[in-house]
Amino acid sequence: MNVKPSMALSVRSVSRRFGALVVAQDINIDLPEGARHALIGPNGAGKTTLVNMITGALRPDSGSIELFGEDITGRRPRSTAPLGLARTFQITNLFVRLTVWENLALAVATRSGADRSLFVRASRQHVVLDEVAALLERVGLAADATRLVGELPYGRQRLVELAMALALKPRVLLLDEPAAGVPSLETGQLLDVIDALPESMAILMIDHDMDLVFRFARRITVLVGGGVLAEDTPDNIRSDPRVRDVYLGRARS
Amino acid sequence: MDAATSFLGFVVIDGIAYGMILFLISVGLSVTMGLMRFANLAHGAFAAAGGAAAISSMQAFGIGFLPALLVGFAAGALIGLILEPALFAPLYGGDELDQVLMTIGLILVTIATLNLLFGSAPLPVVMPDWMQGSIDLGFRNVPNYRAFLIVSGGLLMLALWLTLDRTEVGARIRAAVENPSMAQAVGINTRRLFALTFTFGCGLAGLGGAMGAPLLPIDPIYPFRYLATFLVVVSIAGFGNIKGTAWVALMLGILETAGRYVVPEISGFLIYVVMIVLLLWRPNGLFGRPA
Amino acid sequence: MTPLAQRLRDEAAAGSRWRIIEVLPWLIFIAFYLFFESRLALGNAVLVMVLFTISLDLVMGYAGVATLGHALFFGLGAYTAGVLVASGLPDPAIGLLGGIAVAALAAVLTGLLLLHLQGNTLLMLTLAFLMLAHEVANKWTSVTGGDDGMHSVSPGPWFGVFEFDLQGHTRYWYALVLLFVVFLIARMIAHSQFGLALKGIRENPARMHAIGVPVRRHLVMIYTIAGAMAGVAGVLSAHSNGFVGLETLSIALSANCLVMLVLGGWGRLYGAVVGATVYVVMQHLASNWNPSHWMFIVGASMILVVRFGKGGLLGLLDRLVARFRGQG
Repeated sequence: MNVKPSMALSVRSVSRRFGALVVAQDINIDLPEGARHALIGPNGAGKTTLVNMITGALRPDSGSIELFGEDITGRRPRSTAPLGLARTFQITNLFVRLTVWENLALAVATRSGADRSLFVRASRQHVVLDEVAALLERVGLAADATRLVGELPYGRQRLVELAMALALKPRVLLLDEPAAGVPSLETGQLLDVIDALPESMAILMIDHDMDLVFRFARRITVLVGGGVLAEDTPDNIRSDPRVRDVYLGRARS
Repeated sequence: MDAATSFLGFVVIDGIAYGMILFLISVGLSVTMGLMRFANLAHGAFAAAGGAAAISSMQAFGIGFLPALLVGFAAGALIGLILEPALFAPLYGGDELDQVLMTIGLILVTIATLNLLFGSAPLPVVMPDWMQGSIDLGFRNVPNYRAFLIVSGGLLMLALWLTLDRTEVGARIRAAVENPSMAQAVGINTRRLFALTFTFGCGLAGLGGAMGAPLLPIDPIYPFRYLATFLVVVSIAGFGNIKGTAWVALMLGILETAGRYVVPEISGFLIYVVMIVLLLWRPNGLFGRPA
Repeated sequence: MTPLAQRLRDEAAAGSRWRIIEVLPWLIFIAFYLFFESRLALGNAVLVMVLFTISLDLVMGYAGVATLGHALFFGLGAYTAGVLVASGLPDPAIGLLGGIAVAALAAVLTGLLLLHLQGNTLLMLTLAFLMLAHEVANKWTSVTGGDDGMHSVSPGPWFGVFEFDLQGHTRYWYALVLLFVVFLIARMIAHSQFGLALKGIRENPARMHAIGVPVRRHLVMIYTIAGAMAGVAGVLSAHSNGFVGLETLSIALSANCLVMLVLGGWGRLYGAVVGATVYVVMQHLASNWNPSHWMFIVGASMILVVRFGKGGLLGLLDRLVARFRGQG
C-alpha cells in the first residue's frame, strides 16, 4: 500500500468556458499543507473564476478539485465550508447592517452548529462569543466590536472580511485580493494578520500588489488568458522573461 | 352546425376577445417586471383609471367610444408619467419588500380615490350603435364588440411585436431585459428607457381598461379584483416577455372562458394549480429562461 | 475570560434581557380589560391581529421572506377551528391543536416547495397558494359555508368551566394568554443564535451560503413556526367571533397585516405589537367615517413610510429619542 502525501488542495486540469470565451484552460495547482501560494496575472486572466470553481460557486467543465484527497469538484460552497475551505471576497460581502461581532458570530455559530438552537442557552452563546472575542483580538478589531460594519472605514471592513474566513477555522484559505481598494496607510494591519496565520494553513492568495505577493509567497502561479503561463519560486518568476513580457507588454499596449 | 362546435366557437371567440384585454393590460406589467424588476402590484390601477377617464369623458363631453379610448390611453400614460419618477424610480433595484409595500399603498389610494370620485357602483358604459349587434360570418355570428376587440387587439399586438423586433427602441428594451448591467455598460440610457416604457405600459393598461370596460366593469375595487389575474398572466409568461404574454393572455382568456362554462366549480382552482405547477417547473415563466 | 469577551456577553445579554418598558404593552392590555369592559370585542380583535402580525414579523421582518400569502395559515387555522366545532367537537383546546396542526402542515409543505425561490416568483407563488385555498373555501360550501361562511362556531367552555359568554371575558383572557405565550416563544427565537442566523439570511443570503449555513432548512423552520402561530391567530379569530368567513383567506388580510407590520416597524417584534394595535384601534375609530377616507390615509401612509420613514412608528420613536439624547 503506497502512502501518498495528500495535498491540502489539488486542482487538476480544470477547464471552463462561457460560450466561446475560455476562462480556464487545463489549470493545475497543488497546495501542500502550510502552502503560501500566490496567483497572479493580468485582469481577466481567470483568477477569481478559478477561486469560484474551487469553492463551488461555479462548476468546472472538466478537471477535478480535491481537498485533502476528497473530491469536491462542483460541490456547492455550503458543503465545502464545513470541510475546512474558506474564502474572502474581492468586493467586501459582509452584513453591513449588523455589528462586527454579529458578523463573526454568524460564521462561528455556523461552524460549531450553534445556530441550530432556537432557544437562548447562555452557555452555548458564551462559547460562541468567547471565540468571537478571541478572533477580534487576534485580528485587531477589538475596538470596533460593537460598531456596524457599514460604518467602518474600508480597510477595517477588509479585516472583518478576513476574520469571517478565519472564523470558519479553515485548513485551506483562499484570499481574493485581500488588500484591494484599501488605502496603503491601512494595509499594514491586514498584512500583519496574514503573516501571523498558522503555519499549517494552506493559503492561496490572488493579488496585483507585487510587493505583497513577493513578501508573502513561497510559490507563484502566473495565469494568463485562463491558462497557466508559469509556476515557480518567486525569484524564478521575477526573472522569467515570459512573465516580464506579459506585464511589460500589457503596459505598452 | 352541431352544439359542440358551436360552443367551441363561442368559447374561442369570447376567450380571445377577453384575452386581448388581458394582454393589453398585462403587457405593461410584464415589461415593468422584466425591465425594472419591479413588482407593480398596483398596475391594475392604471387600467381602472384609464377606464374611468374614458367613461367619464364620454358622459361629460359626449365624445364617441373610439376617441374615449384615446382618452383612456392618455389618462393611463399621464398618471404613469407623473408617478414614475416620484414613486417608482426611487425604488428600482431596491428591496422587493419596499416595492410591494409602496404599490399596496398605491392600490389603496387608488381604490379610495375612485370611490370618492365615482361612488362604489360600476361605471355604466354606453356602447355605440355600431358596436351592438353582430356580424354574420356564415358559420357563426360574432358580436361586433368581440370582433372589435379581436381585430384591434390583434393589430396592437402586431404593432408591439414589430416595434420590439424591428426598431432601435425595441432592441434596447430587449437588451436591457436580457442583461441590465451589460445594457448600461453599452451606453443604453436605462433611466430614460424605463420612464418611457413605464409610461407607455401604463397607457396601454389605460387603453385596455377602457376597451374592456363592458367586459371588466370599472368599479373602485377593479385594481384589486383583477390583480391576481394579471399576475397569473405575467408570471406564467415570464417577466419582460411580450410574445409570451400574448400567448398566455390568449390561452388564459380561452381557458377561463371555457372553464366558466364547462367546470365552473373548479375552474378558478384549476387555474391556480396550473400556475403553481408551471411556476415551480419554470420559475422564470414558460417563455423565460429555464432556471 | 477577557474583558472583550465579557463585553460581548453583556451586549448579547442586553438584547435578551427583559427591560422594564417591555411590561408596558401587557399592562395596557390588562388595563384595557379593566377599564373598557364594554369594548372587549375590539380588544379581542387587537389581540388576534397582534398575534398574526408577530408571526409575519418572524418570517418577513427577521428572515426577510417577502410573502403575500401569509393569510393562508390564518385562514386554515380559522376554518379548522370552525369545522371542528361544527362537527361536534366544541372543546377549544381541540380547536387550537387542530388549527395549529393544519396550519403548520401547510407551512412546512409550502415552505419546502417554495423557499428555495426568491423575489417576485416567490411572491407570486405564495399568493397563488392563498388564492387556491380561497377558491376551495369558496366552492366547498358543504364544509365551509362558501360565501356565507360558518356561523355559530363558538367553542364550548374552557376546562368545562369558563364559558364563552356574550360579554367576552373568557374570550379576552383566552386571547391574551395565548398571545403572551406565543410572544415569549417569538422573543426567545429572535434573541437566539438561530434568530441571528435569520437576520443574516435576510441581510446577505449569498454570504450565508458561502459560510456554510443551511439557509433553506432555516427558512423552512421559521416559516413553519410562523405558520403555526398564524394558525393560532386564526383559531382565536374563529373562537372569538363565533364566525369564519372568506376574508380569513384573502389577499386583503395578508396586505393589512403587512401594513400593520410596516407601520409599526418590522424586525423588532414590538413593532408588530404597536403597529397592529394602532391600526386596529384607528380602523375602529375611523369606522364612522367614509371608509374611503380611512383607506386613503392608510395607503398614503404606506407610500410615505416607504419613501421617507423607514422603520415605522418605532423607528420614528428611536430617531426622536436619539435626537433628544443628543441634545441632552
